[in-house]
Amino acid sequence: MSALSSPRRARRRLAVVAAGLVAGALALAGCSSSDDGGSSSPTGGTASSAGAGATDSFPVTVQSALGTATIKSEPKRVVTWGWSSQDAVLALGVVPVAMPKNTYGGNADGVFPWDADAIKELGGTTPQLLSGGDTGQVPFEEIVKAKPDVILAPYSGLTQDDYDTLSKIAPVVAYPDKPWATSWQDQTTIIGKALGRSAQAEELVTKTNDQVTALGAKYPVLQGKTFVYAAANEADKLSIYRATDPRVQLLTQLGMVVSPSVKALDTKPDDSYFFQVSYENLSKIDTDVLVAYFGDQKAADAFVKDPLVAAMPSVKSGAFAPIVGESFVMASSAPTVLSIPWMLNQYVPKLAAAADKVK
Amino acid sequence: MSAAPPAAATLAAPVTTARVRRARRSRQVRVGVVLGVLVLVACGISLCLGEAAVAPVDVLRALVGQADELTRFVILDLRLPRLETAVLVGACLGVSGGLLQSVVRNPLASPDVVGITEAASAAGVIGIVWFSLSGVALSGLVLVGALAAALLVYALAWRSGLSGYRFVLVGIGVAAVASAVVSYVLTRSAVTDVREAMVWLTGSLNGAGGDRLSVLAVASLVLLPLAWLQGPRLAQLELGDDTAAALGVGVERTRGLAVLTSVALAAVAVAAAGPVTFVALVSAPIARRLVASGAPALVCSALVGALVVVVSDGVAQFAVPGTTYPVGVVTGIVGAPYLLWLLTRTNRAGQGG
Amino acid sequence: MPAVPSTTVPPGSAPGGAPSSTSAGLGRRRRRLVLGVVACTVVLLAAALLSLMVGSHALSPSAVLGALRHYDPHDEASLIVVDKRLPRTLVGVLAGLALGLAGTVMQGLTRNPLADPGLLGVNAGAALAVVLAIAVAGVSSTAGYVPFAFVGAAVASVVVYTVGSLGREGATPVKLALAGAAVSAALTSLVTAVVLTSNEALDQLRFWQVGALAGRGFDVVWEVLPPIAVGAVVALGLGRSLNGLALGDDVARALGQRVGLVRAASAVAVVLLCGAATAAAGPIAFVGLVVPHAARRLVGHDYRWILAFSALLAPSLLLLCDVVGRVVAYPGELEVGIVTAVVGAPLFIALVRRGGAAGL
Repeated sequence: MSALSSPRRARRRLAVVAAGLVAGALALAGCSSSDDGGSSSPTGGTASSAGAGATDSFPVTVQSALGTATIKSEPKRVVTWGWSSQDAVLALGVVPVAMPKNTYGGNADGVFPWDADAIKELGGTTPQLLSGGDTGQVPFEEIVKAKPDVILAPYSGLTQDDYDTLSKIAPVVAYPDKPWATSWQDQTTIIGKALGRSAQAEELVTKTNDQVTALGAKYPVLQGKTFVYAAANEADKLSIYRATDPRVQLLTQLGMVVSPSVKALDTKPDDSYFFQVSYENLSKIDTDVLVAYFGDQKAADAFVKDPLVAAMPSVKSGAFAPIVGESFVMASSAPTVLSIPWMLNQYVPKLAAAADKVK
Repeated sequence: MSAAPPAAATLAAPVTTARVRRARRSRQVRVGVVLGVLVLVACGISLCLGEAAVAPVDVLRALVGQADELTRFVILDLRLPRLETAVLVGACLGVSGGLLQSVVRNPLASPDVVGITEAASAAGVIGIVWFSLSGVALSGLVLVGALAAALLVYALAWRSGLSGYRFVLVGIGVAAVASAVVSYVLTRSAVTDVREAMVWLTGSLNGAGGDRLSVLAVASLVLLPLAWLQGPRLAQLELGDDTAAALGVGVERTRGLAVLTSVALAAVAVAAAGPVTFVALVSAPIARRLVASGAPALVCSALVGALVVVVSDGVAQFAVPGTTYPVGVVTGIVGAPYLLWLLTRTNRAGQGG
Repeated sequence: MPAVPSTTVPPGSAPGGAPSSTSAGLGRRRRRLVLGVVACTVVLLAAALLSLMVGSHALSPSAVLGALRHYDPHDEASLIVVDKRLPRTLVGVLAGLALGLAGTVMQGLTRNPLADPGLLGVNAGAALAVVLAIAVAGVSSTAGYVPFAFVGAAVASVVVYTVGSLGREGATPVKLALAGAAVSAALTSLVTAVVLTSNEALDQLRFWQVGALAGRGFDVVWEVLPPIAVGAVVALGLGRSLNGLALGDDVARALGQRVGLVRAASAVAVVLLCGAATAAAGPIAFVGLVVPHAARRLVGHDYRWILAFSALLAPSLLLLCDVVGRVVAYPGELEVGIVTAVVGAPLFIALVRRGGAAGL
């Protein structure tokens, strides 16, 4: 029963927070720009002075597929949920007070490397890490404990029930259309709007897009080369991602082209982002470069040892650019304004080296 | 077989049978009361536990509607609906298992085995992964799936009469197909969807409440009394088909109604919280042992089921700090030793072995 | 060995209605059964050949035969046929054989046509071992899973069998089934607990759990050959004892059989066979349940013949299901575990409806 604190302390804490919220709301009334105030909680971040504060006027309404969120004043305590919402928040200069713990691809604490870098740059501390990021089970009580002003989940699988319950804690910004289907550009603009930093968000998107195009231009060998983006999770089968998948779209932004043989193989297109090809049909894939992701180098090595894989022209010639390592896998599978530069800076040279080998 | 004519037997022992019946009923009542108290205590303790620390005093104040908004939200909107769902799901599953085991006369029978839960799972997984359903819509789809499977099993197993054995066998067939469907969906989906589906497939009380709870409550209010009313007739049916018929019980009708009620209860529970492992299989045998009367102790099965689910949910949430597991994980791990213990102790006669 | 006449066939069970008591009838029956075995062997060979010829990538028969005769590592047909389809076929034959025999022994051991070899908790034990191998030991290849899965399956079955045989009556069918259900549920819950905390484990387990022959190379063949060979020898040798057991424990003892020893040997055979099959191909539904049923309807109640027919029919069924799976989902494949369930269930239900459930 160690979860119980003494009644008086709990009541006093609630009263202090309530008073603090009221005072803060009064102070912000009528102001459109924020000063950085220290938050009264020992954990979680502060709205840092690095980068400008909110430039939009409040209140702000944000529509989503599950409902409308009305944010009355600039949020100081931001809680994120879903796969990578915290990235845009950090990029806009705000350290969330709570975000999901990411054990796959995260460091020892459960934080992605690019998030850890951003938090350090902003001078904040590691936020409260929410459980359930792996399973999609929303940890309502942990979120209550974080006392959020707003809950941002533009790239998540929130259900209507989850949304309604969370809305009783704080305004919730969910995905605009379908779960797990928001592009990183949309994520950034939605989060920017919710935090009152729309102009900065637009700048961020443009800057990131420019970074990608610039990287592509820096390696002209990539232009026009065809590629296939695959995953080898099931034995003797290759999962090939379709052109609608964000991973694939990132590479096309660099100037590469999805191999037409992929479309020929995709005989039963449906809503999902990928389709499966048996190893027996690998010879029907005609591509310049083969891209695939693996959790570790051991898996990548095992992959190329398979005789049918080794017989693929791209693998034989060395035009194979694997994405290796859990963090890299997460960065490329859930690209954001933070993870894209982090990952591409290390990956694109390897991709170009592979493209070089194309005969 | 006794050679004494039935008339002589009943004449000779009206007093003793009445006494035995009274003793049996009082034991049932005593066990029921103790179980009921245990359930309430477990719920009370669970109400006080959670990440958002709330003192017991505040819990009581919130229940009466007096504490501040956040505390009231935590108690009334988060913890209480979750516990209510846990109790109702446990009760429905316990009774469902008890009914089916009584009809089939085999302690192995449970909605899990006869394909109902598997079919409901398949419907649920399809709903979650392919149609992104949740809440009442998902519950509806699950119910439809379960009932369709039940009808299919019934129709396929019916052949001038319903043999319990055939019912179970056909159910296994249907369960295997449903399981294949689940596997198919899981291997063709993105990992995020798979994780969500896996959590649901184990049985999870996270986010319980709202409309789903209302549907569950209404359905339980209808089905649980219906099941209780069937108790006496099922007890007579357990004496054997011929004996029951001689006592005036419509054998086929009783069986059919019991199976239908069992399926409906299982479907409703699965629709609310996913297929919570094991509760249906284990509650009734435990209840029967506690009551020790040989009758299908349906009320006690409901209470045992509720207790198992509430305690398991508590353990699932708080046993390992920093991780919450879905309730089905714990019911499986906890239910098994119980059943094994039961097995090693009993020497059941006439149970199809 | 008990001094029973070699034809311990309960009267009235011989197909075709020939009176089993005349020696001419017996001779005819035996000839028919032998012909049946030959026919099943031919079917098995045909299924194996089909498994080599047919696949997701259409190859002409001459290309297949050419690849088998002369392996050319630069020729795609060679790679597909010899590196993929050949070991896959071998694993299919071994796993099918193992499942058929294990299913028959299981049903004889428990005197219960309901008894699937997976009843002893084999699938759940193997799954837990595989998941721990992935999450803790970082194993990621199908061949790598095999030893873990086998050990897990073996341990689970031993636990189930031990618990099921406690008490006065020993291992009755119901107690075994209940013990199996209990242990399976507990292990499955543990599997879920591990899988929800490890992304790798979830991603790989969901594919292993389906049951597939794809991706099994020669290394898997060599790994499962010893236990399956030993288990098969034990199982085939148990025919006569199972016939005795089918008459009931007391009668069997009266006839001079050592019931406890037979039971133990049967359990060992089931564990070896089913454990190895599951370790090789993952949990495959129905083959161990349907084939002994069908064999019994064809052959009668003599376990020696049921064993022989199951050993030949089960791999044929498995290979045929695998072939079907290869062609229906171009350019991908449907895993054999899904096909056996979808194909096997209606077959099984039809058998049940025809009254097959009554027989022991």
